[in-house]
Amino acid sequence: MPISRHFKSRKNRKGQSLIETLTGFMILIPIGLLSYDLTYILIATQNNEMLADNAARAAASHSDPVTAQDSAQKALGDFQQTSNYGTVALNDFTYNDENNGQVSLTMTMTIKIPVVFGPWSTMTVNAQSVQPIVGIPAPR
Amino acid sequence: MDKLHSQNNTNRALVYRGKHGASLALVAVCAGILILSIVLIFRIVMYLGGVQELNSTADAAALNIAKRSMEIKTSPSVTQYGGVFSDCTDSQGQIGLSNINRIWGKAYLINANVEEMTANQQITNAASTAADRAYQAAQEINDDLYAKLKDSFTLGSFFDQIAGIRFHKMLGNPQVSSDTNNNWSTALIDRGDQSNLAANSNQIPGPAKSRFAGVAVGNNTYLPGYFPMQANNKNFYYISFHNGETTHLVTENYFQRNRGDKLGLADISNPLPNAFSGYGATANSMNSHSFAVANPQRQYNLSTPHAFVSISLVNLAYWIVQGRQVNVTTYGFTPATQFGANHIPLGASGNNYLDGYASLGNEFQGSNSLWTALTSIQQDPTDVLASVVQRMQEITPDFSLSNLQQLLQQQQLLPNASTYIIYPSYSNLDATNPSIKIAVVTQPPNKSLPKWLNTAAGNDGQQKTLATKEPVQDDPNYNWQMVYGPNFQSGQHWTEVGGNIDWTPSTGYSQTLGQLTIMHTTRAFFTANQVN
Repeated sequence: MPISRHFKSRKNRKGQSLIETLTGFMILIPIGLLSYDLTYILIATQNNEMLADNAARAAASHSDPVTAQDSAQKALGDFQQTSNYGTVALNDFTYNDENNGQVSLTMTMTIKIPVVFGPWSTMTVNAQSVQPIVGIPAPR
Repeated sequence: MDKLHSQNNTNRALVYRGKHGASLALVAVCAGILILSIVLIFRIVMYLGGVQELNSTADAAALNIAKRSMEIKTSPSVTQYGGVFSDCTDSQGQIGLSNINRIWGKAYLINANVEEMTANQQITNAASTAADRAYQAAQEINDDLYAKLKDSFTLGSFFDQIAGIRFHKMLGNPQVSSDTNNNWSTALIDRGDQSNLAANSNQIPGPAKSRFAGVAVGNNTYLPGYFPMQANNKNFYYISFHNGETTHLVTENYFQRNRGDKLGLADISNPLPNAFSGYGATANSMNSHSFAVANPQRQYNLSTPHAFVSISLVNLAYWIVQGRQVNVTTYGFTPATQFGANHIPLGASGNNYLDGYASLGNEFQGSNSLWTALTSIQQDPTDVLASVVQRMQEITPDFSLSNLQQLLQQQQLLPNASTYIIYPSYSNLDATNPSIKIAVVTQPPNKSLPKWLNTAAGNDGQQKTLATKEPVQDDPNYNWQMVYGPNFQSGQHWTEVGGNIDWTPSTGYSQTLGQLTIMHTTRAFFTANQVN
C-alpha cells in the first residue's frame, strides 16, 4: 500500500472527529444557553409576580390612595435595590375604596437576557395583582 | 498483497465510518435528552409557579373574606327587647363584628347593676326582669349575626370577588372559585387578648367589680377577648381585636388550634368568630387554603350610651300644733314665709285658735346651687356622690367626682324645678365621645334636651338612705305663732331642721341609672297654754 494514502486517511479521521465535536458543541451549547435564558426568564417572571402581590398588599394596608401608592413604590424600590433582573416599573395603580374596595396594579419588568441571542437582548413581562384594601377602618 | 491492503483499508474504512456515525448519533441523543430535560424542568417550574399563584389568590381571597365580614350586619329589631341596644348601633342603626362588643358591654353593665342592687338589698322584680331581658336581647342579636357570618353563600361570594379577577398565567389561567367548598371554618383567635372595648374597673359596680379582668395595652385597659366574665350569674364575652392592627393573614396551625367548633368557649353560646378561612380550587382540582383574622380598627368605651342620672329635691314642712300634725307643705329654694297652721282651733269651746308661721327655705340662702342643697345636709358629700359618679362612669369612663361637683355647683336652683338630670350629649351618630351636661326637667320637656332622652323613665331599684342630717333646732328655719281667744296664751314654738339624702339605683335598661334625692325636712312645732 502507498504510504501517502495511509497517512491521508489518518489525517481525515482526525479532521472528522474535530468537526463532529465542534458540530456537537455548536448544537448542545446553544441549547444549554437557551435553557439558561428560559430558566432566568421564568424565575424573573415569578419574582415579578411576587413583587406585584407584595406591592399591592403593602398599598392595601393604607387608608388613602397617596400613601398607598407610595408604599407600593417603596416595595418596588426595595426590590430594585436587591435584584439585578432589570428595571421594574409600577403601572395602572388603582386604589378603589368606594366601589369594590380593592387595590390593583401592574408591575412591568424589562428583563436583561443573560445570554444574548442575536437581537433578543431584553424581554418585557407584566404581572398584575389585586388585593382587598384592609387599611380602612370599619365605618362608624 | 494489494488485495490484502485493500481488504484492510476497506475494514478500517468500515470501522472508521461506523465511529463517525456514532458521534453524530450521540450528539443527537444528548441534544434530545437535554431538550426533554429542559421541557420537564420548564413544566415543573411552571407548575410550582402556578401553585404559588394559587396560594397568593387564596391569601388575597381570605383577606377579602375577613375584611368584608365587617359588612355583615344585623339590627336590634331582630329581637323583641332589642330596643335597649339602639344606642349601641353604628350610624346606620346596624350591628356587626365591629360593634357587637358594645352590645355585650351594655348588657354586662345592666346585669352588674342588678348584682349590686341584690347585694345592697335594693333589688326589685322589675330590675331582675330588666337584666334578663337585656341578656336575652344581646344573645339573640349575637345569634342572628352568628348565622349570617356562617352563611356559605356570602363567604363564597367574598372569596370569588377576588379569586375571580386574579390571573394564574402559569396554570394556563384557569378559573379559581369556591364552588366546591362546603366547609367555611372559622376561629376564635387571640383568646385572652384585648377586645376593642376599653374599660376601667371603676365603671363596674358592686360584686362584679371583683371579677373584672382587664387587659392593659399602653395607657388603656380593655375587656378581654374570648374570656367570659360573669355578672348576675350570667356569662358575657367579647371578641378579640388588637389595637393598631389591620386585617391580616394567620398561620393554618394557629387557626386550626382555635377553631370554634373544636375549642368553644365555656358557657357561651354561639361565640362570634374573628378569623375566617378561604378555600378555592381550579377545574382540575388544584386547590389552596388560607386564613385571615378580621380587625375593624375601631375602639369603643364600655358604656350605656343613652342613659342619665337624676337629682330630685324635696323640701317638706310638717306643721305640728299641740303635738298634732295639722299640715304638710312643700317649700322652695329661696327664703319665704309660709302660713302653714291656719286658724287651728284650741280647746273645745271654739273661741280659741292658733295661727302658725314659719320662715322656710333659709337652707338655700347665699349660694343657691345644687351643690349647696347637697352640702346643707352632708357637708362632705363624697360618699353619697360615689354612687352617682360610678353610674356616670357607666356613660363615660373618665367622669370624675370633680366633674360632678363642677356640674352641681354651676346648676342654680330654679324656682319651680324639683328634678335635674345629668346626661350625655353626642355629636356622633353612633353615640360615642359624649359631653356631659346638666339640665332641669320641665313639663313639657325642654326642647334643648336630646330626642332620645326619656325623662319620664322610672327607676327600677329600691330607695335607700345614704346620709341623714340630725335635726337642728331653729336653724336655719324658724317659726312664730299668734294665739287668739280668752282661754289660751302663746306657748313654746320651735323648728327642727334636718334632712336626708337617698339613692334609688336603676339598671339603665330604661335609660335611667339612678336618682339621688335630697330631702330637706322642717318640723314646725306650735304650742299654746291654757290659762283658765
